[in-house]
Amino acid sequence: MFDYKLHVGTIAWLFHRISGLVLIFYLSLHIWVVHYIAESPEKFDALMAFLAQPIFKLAEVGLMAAILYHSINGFRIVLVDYVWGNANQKVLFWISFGISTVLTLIGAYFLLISH
Amino acid sequence: MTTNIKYNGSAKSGGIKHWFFQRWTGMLLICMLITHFVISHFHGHPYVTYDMVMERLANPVWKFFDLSFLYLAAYHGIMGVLAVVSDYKISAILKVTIYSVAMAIMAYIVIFGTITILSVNV
Repeated sequence: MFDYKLHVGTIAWLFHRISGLVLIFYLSLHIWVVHYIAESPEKFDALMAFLAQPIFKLAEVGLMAAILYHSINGFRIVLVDYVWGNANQKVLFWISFGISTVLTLIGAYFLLISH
Repeated sequence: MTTNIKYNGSAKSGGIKHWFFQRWTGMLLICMLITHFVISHFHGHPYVTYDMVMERLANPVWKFFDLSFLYLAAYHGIMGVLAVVSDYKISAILKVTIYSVAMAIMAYIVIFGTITILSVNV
């Protein structure tokens, strides 16, 4: 793992893996939380109200960063594989990284400030 | 499953199929996630309520959507973990251990998720 040189592509690839593992971890938590829908209306609504607290909003910003990075960088990988080839992959990385960063900041604004 | 942990990603493992499916499920998951995000956030209430979910899940099409979303995410996730473990120079026993843990997590996600979706509003 530490034998690789840190090129742009290496960092993109490392972040892709880390964000992917974060999403698996989140999905398992999410499935556990939403299973209360099958238990009782009161339990489910109480839990949803509990999770609407600011501390969880902060965690949601992190989740959003992972999702946006993983999906937009994933889309870049698809474009490199199918459409443009390797030639522009570094430029495409910075474009995709920029888009996911901007979208995360916009999302963070709505989650943390405008609500 | 034709997955071979030793040769994953190579022609011997049928890696081209994994590569192909990983990209197409990924793009499908982006579309489904946008739908999931819109219905869970743009409803004019601070948080999702029991009644909202029940109203949506009364329609079998939404149940089908949720189940498909769950299975595709689980498939994409487990194939992602397999790609990661088979890429590093670690011992076979460690690879199998990590992959087994990931499989257990995915089994939990798929089984628990399916039971939840199918047991409401039947």
